[in-house]
Amino acid sequence: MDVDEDGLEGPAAATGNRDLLCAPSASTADAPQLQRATAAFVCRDERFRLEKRTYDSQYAPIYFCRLEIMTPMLLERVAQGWPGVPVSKILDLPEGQEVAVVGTIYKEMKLKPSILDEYNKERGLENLTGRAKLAAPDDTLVLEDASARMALRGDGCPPGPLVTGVVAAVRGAAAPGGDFDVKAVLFAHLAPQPERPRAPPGPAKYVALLSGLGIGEGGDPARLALAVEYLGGFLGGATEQAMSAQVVRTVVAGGLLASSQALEAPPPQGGAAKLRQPALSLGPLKEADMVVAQLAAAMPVDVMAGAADPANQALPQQALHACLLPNAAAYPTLHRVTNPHEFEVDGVAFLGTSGQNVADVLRYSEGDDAAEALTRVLEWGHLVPTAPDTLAAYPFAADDPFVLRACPHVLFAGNQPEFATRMVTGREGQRVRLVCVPRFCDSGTLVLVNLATMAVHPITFDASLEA
Amino acid sequence: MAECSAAVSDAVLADLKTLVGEELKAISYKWLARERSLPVNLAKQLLFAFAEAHRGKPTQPKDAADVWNSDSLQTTALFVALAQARSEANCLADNRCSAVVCPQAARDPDLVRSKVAAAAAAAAAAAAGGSGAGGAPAPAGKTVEKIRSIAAGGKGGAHQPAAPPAAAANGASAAARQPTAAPAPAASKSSSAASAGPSSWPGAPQAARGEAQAKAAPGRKGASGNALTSMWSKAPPAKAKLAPASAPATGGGGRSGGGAAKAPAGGKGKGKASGAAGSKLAAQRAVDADAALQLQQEDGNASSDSESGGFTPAAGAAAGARGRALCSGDDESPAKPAAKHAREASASGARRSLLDESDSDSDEPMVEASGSQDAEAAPADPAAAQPAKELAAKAARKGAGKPKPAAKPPAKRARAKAAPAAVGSEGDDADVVVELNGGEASDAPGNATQPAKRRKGSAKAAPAAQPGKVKAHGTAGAQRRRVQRTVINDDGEEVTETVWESDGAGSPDPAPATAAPPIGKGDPGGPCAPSGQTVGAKGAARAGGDGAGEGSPQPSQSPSPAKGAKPGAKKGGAGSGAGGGKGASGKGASGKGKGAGQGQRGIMSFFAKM
Repeated sequence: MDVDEDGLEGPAAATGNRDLLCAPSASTADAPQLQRATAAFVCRDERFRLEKRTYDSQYAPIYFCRLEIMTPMLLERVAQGWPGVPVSKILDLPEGQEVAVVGTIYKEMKLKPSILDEYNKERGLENLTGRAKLAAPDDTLVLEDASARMALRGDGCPPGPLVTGVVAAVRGAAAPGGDFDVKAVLFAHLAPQPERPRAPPGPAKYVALLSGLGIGEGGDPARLALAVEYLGGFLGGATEQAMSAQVVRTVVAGGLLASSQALEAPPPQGGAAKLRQPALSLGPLKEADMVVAQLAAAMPVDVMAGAADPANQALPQQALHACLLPNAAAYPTLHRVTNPHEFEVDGVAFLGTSGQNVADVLRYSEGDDAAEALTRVLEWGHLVPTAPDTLAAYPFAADDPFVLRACPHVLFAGNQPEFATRMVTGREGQRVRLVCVPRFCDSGTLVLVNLATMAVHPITFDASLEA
Repeated sequence: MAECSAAVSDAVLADLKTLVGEELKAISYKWLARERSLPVNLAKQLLFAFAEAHRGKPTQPKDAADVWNSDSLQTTALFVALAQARSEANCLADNRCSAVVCPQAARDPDLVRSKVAAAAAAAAAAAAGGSGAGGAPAPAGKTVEKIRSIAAGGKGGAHQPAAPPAAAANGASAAARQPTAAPAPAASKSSSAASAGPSSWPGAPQAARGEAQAKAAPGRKGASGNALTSMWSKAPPAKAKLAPASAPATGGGGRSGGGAAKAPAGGKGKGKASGAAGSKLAAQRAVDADAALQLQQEDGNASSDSESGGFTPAAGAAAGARGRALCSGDDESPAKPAAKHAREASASGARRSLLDESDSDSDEPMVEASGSQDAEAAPADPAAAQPAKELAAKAARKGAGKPKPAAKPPAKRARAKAAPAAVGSEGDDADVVVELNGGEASDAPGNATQPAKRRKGSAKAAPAAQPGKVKAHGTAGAQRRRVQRTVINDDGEEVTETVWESDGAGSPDPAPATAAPPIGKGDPGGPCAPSGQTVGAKGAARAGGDGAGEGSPQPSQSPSPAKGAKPGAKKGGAGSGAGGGKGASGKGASGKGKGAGQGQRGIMSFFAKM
């Protein structure tokens, strides 16, 4: 798997931004309106959509299904990577013979919060306070398959970057004490990728990725207004507007609101406060509605729910209710979509989340690099490996929709601390553009993805006048 | 700059001089473009030209927020306008000022409406009705007809088509705008809405009952407050179902637009003693943009609720009706008193239904009362009905499956009514009552009550409205018990009845008597009954309600009512009449309580009502 850190594109040298600093030209004012580019759009969210939610099943079936679905993938990888190595179940492990075992990894973590800590007054509290990362050097791994579990040891499989829920194949031999001495480990790797159609002639089209608007947080609303103006085709000179006209779709990858706590607060009883308080708490929502509506007035917009948005918390998060965006919902271009969101634009397959998966992987593994975590997710072949262990997920009874059965062309995660991108090339020639979409309220950055070249074009807005 | 825009640009530059030079306003190209509906690039150029021409005069704002603020305010205002569909040419609707056009991104308000449609349609109408002033009685008659037809097996279909019923919807908006004005249309509207809800349901009798129940919920709640409150699930499960229903009413108002904004207030107001207060509140809300959004959301909720529960639409309508009733107190229209009574009667009926009294004969009186109200309603302005009708039609269109069917039945009713009364636009309450009782009423021809009624009432009594006895509904009682009682009535007959007794309340005075007068008035054929009479009928109905509580089966109530009930009725009537304008609703209620017979209710029940 090759990782290419490049892939950024900027404004074409010829255009620059000359026209921003001079008088608007007569030709600009007289020019006919540009026509926004269009692209074929296919939504592939079916598997994330929960028409009927029942919570009477346990979570175990998810792991069972995950193992069932991914075992064939891993067996294939074992056959390719370790030809001649027999595959065994944990219960049937032979003594002294090198075998491959496929199973689900469980990471034994001392710092992992436990629901029982709440009842333990003596210890554990110090571990739970102020710890953003719960990985520790002495974490250990356990491998489970349908038959049994065994502890993993050895250098072939360092626990640091791994998290619970990853399905892996390990090669090694049984060691005394019921452990397994791991020499090497394989993951599902990139699934087969549909061929990306040749880009149609003409100027390249773009998909804009935006996330973490954080409305209601007290950030700089002018910055967001600028971004909306840019995408809407107001801002800038002829060059910028022409660029904006090539943006065929905006995806808001979660984080419309900074917090929905105000919405969850029970309404005060009686009196004028009953009228006033909801109005206050609805302020951010109303503003979000306006922002989304302005975007939707300009182009197709996909709005995904995020961790702090007023939607269900468990993945897959369902689409925001139309009543939350009453104005925006009047635009046929507004698509309220699920949180893992999969779609195709002109044949380019996108898959992304609002960032919970990456954040949780980072929390329970070593390293701080979101792009790296996203790369690992892709390598593991599972979009949300830590669900349902440490990340809330719907208790699917007969499926695990987060398994990456097909490799997208663009894998993105919203609400990341900073912008990052990578081009990952798989063993079979899959090329995946990874994009960490930064929180807009922190960075003022939105990301354009070039559908023709898969290059990424971040645009940062700054509304301060001091510069 | 293009030739064609030369004049425009001159005008804009002149304006800029004022805005920047005198008002010291920070202006952005976006603001200018939206304000004047110019292409952004032209706006930029104009600003540049202005800056060039007044070099040094315009200054850069110290803070970017200055620019953003004006933009944001403008955007907000445009959005409010957009949400309320105030103007067609809203530059936010299709991004027309932008340099980049996206044809498929045009706003389509129907998208939202369809989502919220089902609830919205009924709710809007109801809300409108609620805000509306005093009601025209007409609807009641229709309802009765409808109910009867249902009971009789779909006879309703035969009725000639009538315009008036539809009027409700339109009236709603009008009412919202002018809460105190034009009572008649509003009333008609609300009534239609109410009827619409139930009509959509399959089983006729069930429908009737459902409606009654739905209505009842708000009525009961009336003491404590508005529909919103109920939304937040203070209520026990049974109520909870109803509660959502009330929500639509308010929501509907919100959605119907600026004018409509008031309507919700009406819905709220219902709980309050004075309609005026409610309307004021509503007005406030309308003004507040935030409130508008909230309302919309409520709409949304309402819609979802309605989808889940069949009762919702009806409930919404009921709420609206109630709200209207309250508002009506303020109205100056002649119809008002009658309408009020009707409402009260209906309210009592609703309550009763809540208590599961539906089967008793005692319900009949209510029917009659409504009938009388209808008659009175006749004077109401027919013209008003028309707009209402349009609105209703709209609502129906919007509404998904449910609303549509619902809308029809009301229309039928309206027609039925209109025929006799000539105009009928009337209160929902009346309708509700009818529905509750309707099935029974038709069946109860042989009732002893009838004679009593005749005696009392004007000769006109409609044949359809069989005499019933008036049952007292325990209006207020927070806690009631069901008690079997045997009493000797005025005729010397022994009557055994099941009565809902307020805690501590004394003997159940079978209040059946009240009903009689209403019948006379209710006479459809007659011109509007004198207000006094109507009132009396109403009062009687009310009084009966109070006294008896929920008592379902009052077998032979007929004669007895005359005595106890009559005085009560009169009292009620007097009270309402005196109340006249504002206090009417509040007063009416209290008067009602008195009429019922104080001995029967504990002091707490009195407060509960308040």
